[in-house]
Amino acid sequence: MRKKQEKQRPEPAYIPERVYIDERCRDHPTAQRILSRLEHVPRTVIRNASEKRAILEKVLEAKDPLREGKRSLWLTRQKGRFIKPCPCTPRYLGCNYFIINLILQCPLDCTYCILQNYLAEPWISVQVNTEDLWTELDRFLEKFRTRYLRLGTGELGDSLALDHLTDFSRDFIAYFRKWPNIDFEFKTKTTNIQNLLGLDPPQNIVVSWSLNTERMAREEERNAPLIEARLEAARILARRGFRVGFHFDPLLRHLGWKNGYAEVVRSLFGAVPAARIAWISLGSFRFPPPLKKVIQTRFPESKIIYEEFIAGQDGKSRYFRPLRLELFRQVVGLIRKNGGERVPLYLCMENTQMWRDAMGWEPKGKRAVEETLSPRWES
Amino acid sequence: MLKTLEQRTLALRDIDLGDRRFMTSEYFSLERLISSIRKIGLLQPPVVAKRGRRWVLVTGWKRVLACQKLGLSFITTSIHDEPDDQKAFLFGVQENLAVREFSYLEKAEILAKLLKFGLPERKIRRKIMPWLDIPPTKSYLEGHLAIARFRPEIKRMIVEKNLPFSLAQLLAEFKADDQKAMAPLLWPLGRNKQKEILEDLREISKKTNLAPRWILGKKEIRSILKSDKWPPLQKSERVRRALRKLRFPRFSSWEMDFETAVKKLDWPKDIGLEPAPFFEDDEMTVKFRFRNEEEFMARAALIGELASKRELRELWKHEKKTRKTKA
Repeated sequence: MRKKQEKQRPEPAYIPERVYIDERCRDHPTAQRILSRLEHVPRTVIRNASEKRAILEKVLEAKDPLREGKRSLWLTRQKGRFIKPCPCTPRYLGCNYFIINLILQCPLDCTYCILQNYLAEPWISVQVNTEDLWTELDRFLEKFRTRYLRLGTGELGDSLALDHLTDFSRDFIAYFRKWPNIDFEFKTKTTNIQNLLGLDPPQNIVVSWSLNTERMAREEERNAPLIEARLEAARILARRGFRVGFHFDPLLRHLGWKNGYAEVVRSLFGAVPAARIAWISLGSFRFPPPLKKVIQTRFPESKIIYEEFIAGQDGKSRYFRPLRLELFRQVVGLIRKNGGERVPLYLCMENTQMWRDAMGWEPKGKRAVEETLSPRWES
Repeated sequence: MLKTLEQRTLALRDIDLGDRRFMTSEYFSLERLISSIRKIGLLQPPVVAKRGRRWVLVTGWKRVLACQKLGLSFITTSIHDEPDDQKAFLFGVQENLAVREFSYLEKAEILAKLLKFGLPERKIRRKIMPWLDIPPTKSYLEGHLAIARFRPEIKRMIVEKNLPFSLAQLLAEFKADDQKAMAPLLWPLGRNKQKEILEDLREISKKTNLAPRWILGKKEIRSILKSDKWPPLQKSERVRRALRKLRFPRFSSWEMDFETAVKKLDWPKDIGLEPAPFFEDDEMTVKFRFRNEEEFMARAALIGELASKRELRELWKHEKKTRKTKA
């Protein structure tokens, strides 16, 4: 099974098997742009909630509704706000990040993905009313004219996985050129960087990749390019002048993890000069307890949930603290030793004690974390 | 017009009790029914159908067995003139559904039997599962079918220990040989501890690729199981703790270090001392109650004494060990 998966790599860019279009946005230019790239894909216009419910019921009847859902792309409108503070997790230290939710769900199918337990609808939704986003961003960013801020799109979906259909990366870059005090981040596991290659890279744009050991990428990150390919994409963009970032998140304990992470850190610094790296984050595997059952059902061969987990202060399952500390120390040490002495590092969703023990200092709050990630911009 | 079944008195020996094709539950108590029949007689005749030369019970197993226990030779029955097993069985299910709820074990048997009688899986999901108040999904069907495949001793345990569906489902994930090895261990325990043992065994097994019966064969567990020192409940409890250690080795060792340090300090029982939940940080909590100034002073003095003991720092022994470990 796994060997078969391996042979299928690298995955081609995502093409849905069916497109559903919310009637209210069938003539929207963004919807038209996407549909023009999916001419041969069957499409259905959804007129009302009951039609949508009928499709949802059909998808939920499938043996694996999530996998089934990923085959469909929905073009719809965002009714509420696009921009939200990153929810982080209660009682652990945040980093003052803001997220933009334009795409919900993801064509990749990672075993540990929180979206399996988070989103109500299994299909991949694209909110096409980007004009509302730009207006909302104008209003939102006005408050931050004189200070540094980080925003990104990779929270509820991969930032670039659909970029060959949406061109959103071009739109975001065009928009954020006028906001040099704001770092905007694309977070991805894909190599879908075609759109970026033709652009003059603004210095407030960061393209970042989620990394893991080669083994975990192969076994736990279904449909995602292997690490070598991700690093090659990072290398290309860094050479073009883009700032890049990396997220060792989730760090996973597994047989041979020390060597595995040592290899990937070495490859990282072999591919990208440290000076081009905006930041590297580290987060150990954590999950809301109901996700365990989902992983057991959808990925019975996965072993990642059978390590030593405890209930954290936020109620999520996370590795017992000394095990997390080992992971963080190991990877931080590797980064520092391999050329990343001055690369800004941060821990994702950890407590201050872990910061002290793993990083050697204790931020006083999320603004303090944010400050360490903005060394080049001052108000 | 509603069809009524012909009633006929049959000799009990003419009913083939060895033919259990329509039976949905095997483990039940007859005492209350026997006492009722003794007092007011059998009001509702069991339903039988002819198969070859013999009469086979469609519904009313308890009633027939109670009459047999009472030493009756004849019984009034309703004759269901239906040659098709699937239809006769569904008739029996409907008859029961009208007057009582099925347990999940009975529901599991019903679904398994309908499949055996040739009812297509899709029909079972769409028609029968909603009747039985089961969500009509494939996974629920598979879950019930796995329960129907349990060995008799496991089914008996389910009935006698009133095992909830979620636990039976968990048990169904194991192979029959593993279930057999686990059954005596689970038997004396309450639900929460049964669940803990099953989950720990499953997860150790998944992580180590060892079958649960091999895990139970490990030296530290085998020695508990073979010992005559403890009654079954204590044995199960000890095995449960041994499995916890295997499942959470690092956490267990921290817990043990902490308990040892508390013992060394001879920590007074009326002053509570707790580490952070799951040692998520190195803070500890000291708690005590007092009713007046004197009591408060006494407790505070005791804490002062504890603070001057050298052994106090051993409360953080595990922390220091971890911090010293180099990456």
